[in-house]
Amino acid sequence: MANHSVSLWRKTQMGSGMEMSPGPAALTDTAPEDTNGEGNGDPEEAATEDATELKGQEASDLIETGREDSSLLASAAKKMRIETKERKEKKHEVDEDEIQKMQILVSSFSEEQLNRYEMYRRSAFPKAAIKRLIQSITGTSVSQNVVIAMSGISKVFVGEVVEEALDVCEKWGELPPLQPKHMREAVRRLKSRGQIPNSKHKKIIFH
Amino acid sequence: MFEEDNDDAGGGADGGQGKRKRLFSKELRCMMYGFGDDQNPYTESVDILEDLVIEFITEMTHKAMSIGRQGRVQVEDIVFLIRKDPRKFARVKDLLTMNEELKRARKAFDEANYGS
Repeated sequence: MANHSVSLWRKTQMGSGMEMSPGPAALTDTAPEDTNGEGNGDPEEAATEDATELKGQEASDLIETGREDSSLLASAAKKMRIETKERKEKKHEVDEDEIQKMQILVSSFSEEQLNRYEMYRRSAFPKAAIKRLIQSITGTSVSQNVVIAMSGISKVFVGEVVEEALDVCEKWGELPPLQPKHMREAVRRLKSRGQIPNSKHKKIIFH
Repeated sequence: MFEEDNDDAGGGADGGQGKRKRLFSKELRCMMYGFGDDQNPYTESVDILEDLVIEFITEMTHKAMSIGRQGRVQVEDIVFLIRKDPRKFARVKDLLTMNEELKRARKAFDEANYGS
């Protein structure tokens, strides 16, 4: 029973947070790093990891087929495999470091900061409304994963707009709360960077 | 000063979205606060954001319908569309991974309980 309620709690965290289990992992959420645009570290890292794993595999294939310089290939493959393992362990340590740093950081938050952080993690779009919206556009039903993905990127989108608007607000020497003119200027800037999808504009390539 | 204009139903003065009922007002307010805005954001700003989000979701949905399997929205299409945006891409990957892990954990728990 206790487990069930815990898993329900985890499910509600899905919309905004990344907690898999209470304790250290709860503060691993990469969302703070995401806001620094470091989210690209993950897919790239994953790609290089896959590449090295593949090389290890190819190397071991080579060993099986070519027996002449087998000793050379064997040592090379062994080195590659050790490197891959070290890289995985390093990533684990990095995660552990991140977790610890996050814990230290959050433990030193003021009450206002804690409130804001809680809102940051917990706020999420209601899945039912998103599902209804998507289905009203497609006319067909959509899977749960689609709703999860769409809610997730919409929240990231909101974050991008709000952060840009806060930059605009600060640049104009004004204070929060954000006013519509900040929002509009933020949207204008994001559009010029191509971060806002717009398929209504007809692109003139040569003129 | 900003609140006075909000008397017309649905706040149609902004963005021309007509009299559509506000879908995410509460959640958006919490989100804005979490991302750095004041604890009480202006209603007009919340409305602008809601319109932006709905437009974003609409665009993504239309694009997803036009690629992959036509007329349907699938996760792979969303992931494809978002591939150039590092933040969103990482976020979607993480969310989907987490969901899989949760499903596996729940399934294991259920099997442990009912011995199937």
